[in-house]
Amino acid sequence: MSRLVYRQVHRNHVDEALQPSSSAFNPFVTGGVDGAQTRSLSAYNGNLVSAEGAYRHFTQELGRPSVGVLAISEEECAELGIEVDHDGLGFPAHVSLRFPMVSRGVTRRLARELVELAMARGWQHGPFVGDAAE
Amino acid sequence: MKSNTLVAEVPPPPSEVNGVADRISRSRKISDRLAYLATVEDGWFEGRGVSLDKAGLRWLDCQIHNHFVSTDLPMPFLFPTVPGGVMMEWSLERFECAIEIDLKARTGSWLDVNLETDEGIDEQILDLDSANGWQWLNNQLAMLIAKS
Repeated sequence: MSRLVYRQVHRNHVDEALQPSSSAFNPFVTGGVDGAQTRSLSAYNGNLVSAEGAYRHFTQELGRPSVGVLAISEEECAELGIEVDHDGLGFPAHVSLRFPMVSRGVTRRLARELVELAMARGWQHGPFVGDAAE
Repeated sequence: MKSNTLVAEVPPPPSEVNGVADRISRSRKISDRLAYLATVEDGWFEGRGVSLDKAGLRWLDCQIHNHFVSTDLPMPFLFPTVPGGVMMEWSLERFECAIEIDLKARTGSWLDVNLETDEGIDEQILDLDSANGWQWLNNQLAMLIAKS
């Protein structure tokens, strides 16, 4: 059975038909000149929380907007060279998806592949028109 | 990956869309989306992200209207970027293309990648305050569509 990680999708990253753009899975760049640069995304450990539970935590406890929850498996991440770090940052179910340090173009290709894999699996919770937290 | 490299092979400019109604529809979609982006507030994305410069959004609306909506190129996905810019994105069958627009500098950083080979342009800075910048964008997009 696949081990899933859940990613919240911001409404700015879906079109009128609720189709997510690649940017829904495009990583943040952190660090820089003095420290090692990393590219990562936050997600939820599907072994510790359900998709609905992740949505509730994100929108109600953290007060952040989300149109819904998509999932990818840890195996899919590994095949794309993306490390799933169960770091528990801020809350126990937090995971960081750490992207390889490749070109901007390849990073976008990886983000697009994640969106396609996630949409093939379908929305795990939602999508909702209008953000619960807004 | 190439960086800051002009593409030697330039196809004919994309043809214009048929009819005034098409142009008005395309123009309205862009304007509506940019009007929405003007409502984005600081911290919009997981606590990060800054609001977008309103004058910059009006400038971008004008530029897209003048240089893009009259073409038959597919409409982009438009969304805010964390540093307060606008991303125009096209997901083609064989290519992923995007331009990150700096609303204050009025420039764009173009990238495209071939999904099968990972080849493409990793960064091409365009002056989007000039017709030449938009012509380059339109020609590059048309070329990638022709290859898709």
